[in-house]
Formats: sequence, structure tokens, C-alpha cells
Amino acid sequence: MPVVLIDANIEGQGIRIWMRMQSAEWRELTAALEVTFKTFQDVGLDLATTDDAIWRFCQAQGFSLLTSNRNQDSNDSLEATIHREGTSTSLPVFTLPSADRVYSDATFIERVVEKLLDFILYADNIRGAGRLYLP
Amino acid sequence: MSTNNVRIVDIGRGPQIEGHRITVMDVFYYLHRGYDFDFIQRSMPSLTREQFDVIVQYVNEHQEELVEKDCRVEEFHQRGIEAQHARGGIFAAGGEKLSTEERVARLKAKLNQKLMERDGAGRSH
Repeated sequence: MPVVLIDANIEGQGIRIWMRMQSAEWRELTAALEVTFKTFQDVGLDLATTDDAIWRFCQAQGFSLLTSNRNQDSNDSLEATIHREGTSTSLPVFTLPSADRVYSDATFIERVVEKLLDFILYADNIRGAGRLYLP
Repeated sequence: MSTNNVRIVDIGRGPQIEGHRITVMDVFYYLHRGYDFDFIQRSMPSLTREQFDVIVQYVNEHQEELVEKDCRVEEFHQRGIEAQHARGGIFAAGGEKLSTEERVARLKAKLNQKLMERDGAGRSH
């Protein structure tokens, strides 16, 4: 069952996307692909958890992270961790750079939902892809 | 930088709230684009008003360097998006102006195709 873990910096948007995926239009596909979303609280992760620890947690649990992460500088940043520890079978990190548009652009959220479900449909093809942008 | 309870620290991933993974850059993204506390807290419900106020104070004192860093992050993401789209297939851009019904139908067709391929592969073994 594909699980998307919503990062703390995008929790509101993640929940909104998840609600949209359960709307009358999308819920059949969401159910067929058995997708579910979880928050840090759902999985017992501390809000202070570092990028590298979250990435390792996701890989160990079989989760894909949804983030709008904007940190690249340090050795334990998400980007550095993906490059250093990622393999051809690693689960991707879904990145939403324009997260504000989830609230302001109705078409944008539909594109995000479609792209996310599309990626999940082809789950085997996106392993090892590192960071995947939405939409 | 701190108030009584909230401190901005840098433990190697840029300035962030002590004890919380939300960074100044996470919040600055919204501030720089004109969003207020209510909008930002809708995005990050775990962000308190006190934490936000300390970040705003930090932003006011480091505006120039944060603008520059925000530009670099945007450029980084733009390069990543272009590289992803250049891979084609499921990585290609899907920005067409379609209705939700058309998007759902398009994805259902892909799902059905994949199920047929899987069933076909199962029968051939």
C-alpha cells in the first residue's frame, strides 16, 4: 500500500491534497491505487527530526515523502541525503515547490493530484528517481 | 536570536526554529510572496505565533541574504523540473488545460492498460 508522508512544512497543503484525492471525482482511483497519506503525528515522528533521519525513516517504512523543502546547504539536507544514500530502488521524494498555489489555484491542485496518482500507478518506474516535482 | 521561549538556531541546514524542523527559508517563501501569518499557519499548523514573530524579526534583519537564497532555491527547483520533464514518459510535463473529468478518465485509461498488461503477463507464464 503506497503511503505518502506529509512534511511539517507542507502539512496544510498535504491534507488538502489528500482530501481532494478522496473527493467524488478522484476517490475511485485513489482507492484502486490504495494510496494513503500520513502526517508526522500519525507515524510518531518528532517535529524536530532532521532531513536525513526522515529520509531514512521513509525508506525503512516504505513511505514517500511529500515536501516543499527549501534547504540545500548542509550535509544532512534532504538533497545531500538523496545524493549520498539514494539507490536505484529508493522511494522518491515528492516536491511541491509552489505550495501556495494549492490554496489559490483550483486547476493546480487537480494537476497535483493527477501527477501524484500517475507516479504511484507507475511506482516501479519511479524508484531511484530521487526528487520528483509536482505537478 | 530569541524571545523567552523561541530561538533561531543553525545546526547546519540554515536558520531554523530550535526544536522544530521548520526553517526560516520555509516561512520566508510565503513572506516574500506577500502571505500573512494566517495563510502560513494554514500551511504549517504546527507553527505558533511566537515562532512566527521570531522568524519575522530574523527576516527583517537578514532580508537581502534571504532574497538571494530564495532566488537560488527557485533556480535549483526550476533546473530540477526541466530535467524531470526532459526525461519524457511519466516524467513529462502534464500542464494541459483539461477538466477534472478528463484527467480522471486519462488516468483510469492508464490504470486499465496497466491491469491488462499485468493480466496478459500473468497468462503468458
